[in-house]
Amino acid sequence: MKNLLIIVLTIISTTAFGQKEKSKYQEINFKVSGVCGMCEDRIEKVLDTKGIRVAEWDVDTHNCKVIFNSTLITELAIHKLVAGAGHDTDKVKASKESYDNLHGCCKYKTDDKH
Amino acid sequence: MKAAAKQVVTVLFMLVSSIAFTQKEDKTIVEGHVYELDLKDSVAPLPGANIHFPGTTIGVSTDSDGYFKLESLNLYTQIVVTFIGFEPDTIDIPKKNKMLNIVLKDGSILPGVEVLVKKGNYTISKFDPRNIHTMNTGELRKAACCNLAESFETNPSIDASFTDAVTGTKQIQMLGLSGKYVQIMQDNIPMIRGLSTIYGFEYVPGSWINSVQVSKGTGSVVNGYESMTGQINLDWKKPGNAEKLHLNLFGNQAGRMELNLNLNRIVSKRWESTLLMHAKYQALEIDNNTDGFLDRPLAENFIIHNQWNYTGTIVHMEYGVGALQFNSLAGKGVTDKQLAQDNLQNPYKVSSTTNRGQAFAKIGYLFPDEQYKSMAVQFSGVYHDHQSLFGNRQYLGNQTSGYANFIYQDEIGKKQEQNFKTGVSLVYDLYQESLQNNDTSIVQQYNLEEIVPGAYFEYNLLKSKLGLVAGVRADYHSVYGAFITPRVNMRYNFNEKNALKISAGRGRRTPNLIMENVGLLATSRNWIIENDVNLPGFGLKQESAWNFGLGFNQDFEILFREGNINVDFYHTLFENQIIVDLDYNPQEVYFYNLDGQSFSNSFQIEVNYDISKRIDIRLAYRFLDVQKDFKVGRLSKPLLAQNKGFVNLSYETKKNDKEGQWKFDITSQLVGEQRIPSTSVNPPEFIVPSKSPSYILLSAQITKVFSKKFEFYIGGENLTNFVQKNPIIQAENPYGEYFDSSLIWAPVFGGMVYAGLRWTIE
Repeated sequence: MKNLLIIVLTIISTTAFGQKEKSKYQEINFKVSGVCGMCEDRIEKVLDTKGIRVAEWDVDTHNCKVIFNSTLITELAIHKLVAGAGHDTDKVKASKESYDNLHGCCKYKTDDKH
Repeated sequence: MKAAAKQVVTVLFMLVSSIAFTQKEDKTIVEGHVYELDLKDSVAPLPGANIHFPGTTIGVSTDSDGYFKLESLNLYTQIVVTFIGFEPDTIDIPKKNKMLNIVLKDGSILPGVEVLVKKGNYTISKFDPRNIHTMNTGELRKAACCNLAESFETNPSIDASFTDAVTGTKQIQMLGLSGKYVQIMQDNIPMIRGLSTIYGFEYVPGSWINSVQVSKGTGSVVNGYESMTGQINLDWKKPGNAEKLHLNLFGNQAGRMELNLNLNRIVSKRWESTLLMHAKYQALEIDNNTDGFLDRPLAENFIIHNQWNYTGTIVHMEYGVGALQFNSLAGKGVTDKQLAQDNLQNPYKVSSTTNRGQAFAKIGYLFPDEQYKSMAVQFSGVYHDHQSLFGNRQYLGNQTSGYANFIYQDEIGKKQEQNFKTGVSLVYDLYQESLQNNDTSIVQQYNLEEIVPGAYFEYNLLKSKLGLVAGVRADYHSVYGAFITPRVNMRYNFNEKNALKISAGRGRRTPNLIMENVGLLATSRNWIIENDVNLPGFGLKQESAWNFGLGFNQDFEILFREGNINVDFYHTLFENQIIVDLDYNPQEVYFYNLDGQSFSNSFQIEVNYDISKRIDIRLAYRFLDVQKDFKVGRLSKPLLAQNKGFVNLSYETKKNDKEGQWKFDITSQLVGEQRIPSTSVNPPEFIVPSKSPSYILLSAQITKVFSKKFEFYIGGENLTNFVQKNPIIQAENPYGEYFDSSLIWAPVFGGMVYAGLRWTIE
């Protein structure tokens, strides 16, 4: 009985917390160059960082959806993170060095073999 | 209770209302491209690669562009990609209708495996009409120790409890009823049954298992009539999903050591073989509660299993063979060390030896042009021999079983919305048992031979919003006669984020009275079987029950993170049950056919939520109401907690370049009060309370993953150190008339630390 109450309270508090915090979050969508599942892993991994709640990159549309807490990270910083991993975005291009470090199957600038 | 229920409903509505409803067509289609990674590290399309669903012959080949498309009406979560000269890859099917790009690596040179979609460790199916909870390797590893009975610790639907304080045997329970009412299958063949019902999960090391499907409520008629409260299917490591090499070493503070070694080899283009080995050794003598009895039995166990699979274009074959030997010794005054320490008056020896061999064969034939038409035949055979000694009581049991099942599957119409399975089966069991009771001059013999031919038909409807599995089987039992087993499971999805499930069905089983209650031999209770000489076996009827279920599952989103809430209610009503009556007299245990009512009501609410990308939480609460008519009247089932709460929290750090990370996992359970069978007529010193207190159990584990190849884990069990003090009544004189070690409601063993490592070559 006591137990049920604890669970109910936890759920309620999570939900309440959710409503209050929601306004801090912002969703952006931008293009990121890449070709395969390895790219997807790399892009989503580099975006697994403080302030970012959701990061999904689609291999077919190249769209990257990010939901982030604007008090903790800026939009530009997000672009820089992705570019730093070797993937060009709408706003920031990857450096030659980081691009060269990509795995063979992820070289999106060479002729598209897909 | 009423107010609380109201609260639950309120919360449910809150969650449901906060969800954005989106409509999308529900179809299971996988498509994509397969590429090869050549020596220059560039990708090229790979024509002619084979893609199939694991364990089936449903598959296609890629075209000249490496493109493939595979559709399924059945529930599959993974595909396997194979090509000669390349390592096969098992890939999870993405939730969204996304194109897959699969890069196969040349096994000899290149490092790195491309895992494309993150695996969910624990999923509750929305598409299957049955209420199926799937636990995969990641989930099973959360409780590293050791065999499957212990791996269910993170699953709130299943409990593991001890049978007695002497042998340390764990048995599972589902819906508040004994594990014997759950049908346990090894890759869809009923294997753990008969004499192995209670000990069965100890025969399955956790690291041999790829995934476990726990299906609550009535099951499928295809696998027989025996499931009454649920079905558990063990998806073994086998060709197609086994690692090339997997080594698991485990050791704990109590001196338990285990070794598991899995090996897999592609023998030829079509043949692949998996070899699984397990050894357990317990040599340390521990008696923390100083009652003279070993807290854990000394043990030496070996298990081996070998499987061969053939994957052809139209024929798929699997052959497996396995054997095990278990030896254990427990009690007091039985080891040299014990004898040297004490001058015991009454040594009480508890020993057990099990030898078992089993084999199976599965042959599937696929009609090349018809995707859903197939024929399959399954055979299995089991030889099981068990001997145990409890003081002056000896039990010998021997089982020889054979099983054959022919399954034909086809679709109805061409819309891929309806199909059926039909077939015939034959089960043979021969049991030869003997029990030497307290009075050493009498040896009772029990022999039972069963031959059960049966036939079944199961209709399956798969629409995007509505699913139905309706089956019926008829069996003729050579001893108990003919009977019908109807079962229905239905699903309705209001939208893609939820599922309503309704089920009703019947199940029955032949009791294996002695083995199912073997823990009661570790007492002075006199066994009284109130049998009817006109009935076969033990003179008892078969057990039979109806099960009705209602479940609702809803995805929700809080702060952009997904969660899931699952609520279910099950009612089991026995037509006949073998009542084990400990309440009539503490010096006796009565076994008799149900006269009156016996039922179980189980309500469970479970919430899973990703607090952040790498933090998951699982909360559950369960309420059980299990009552039976005993000789003394209607009572709740003894040694069962009516209320149980459960929290599991897991956290993973971000993976580094070598795929290394830390994983943290903590599980806590709140176990409510339990009724203890009456001992009130005993002398005062041998009376135990009529109720146990509620208590909290805690376990935690830390895993350090160094790379994909190597990981190390350390963990603790029972960290709150809650133990049942003096678990054995009259421990000082096991031959006294009040001796009883079966009244167990909490762990006997206190906090314990364990550690181990895993080494894997994929």
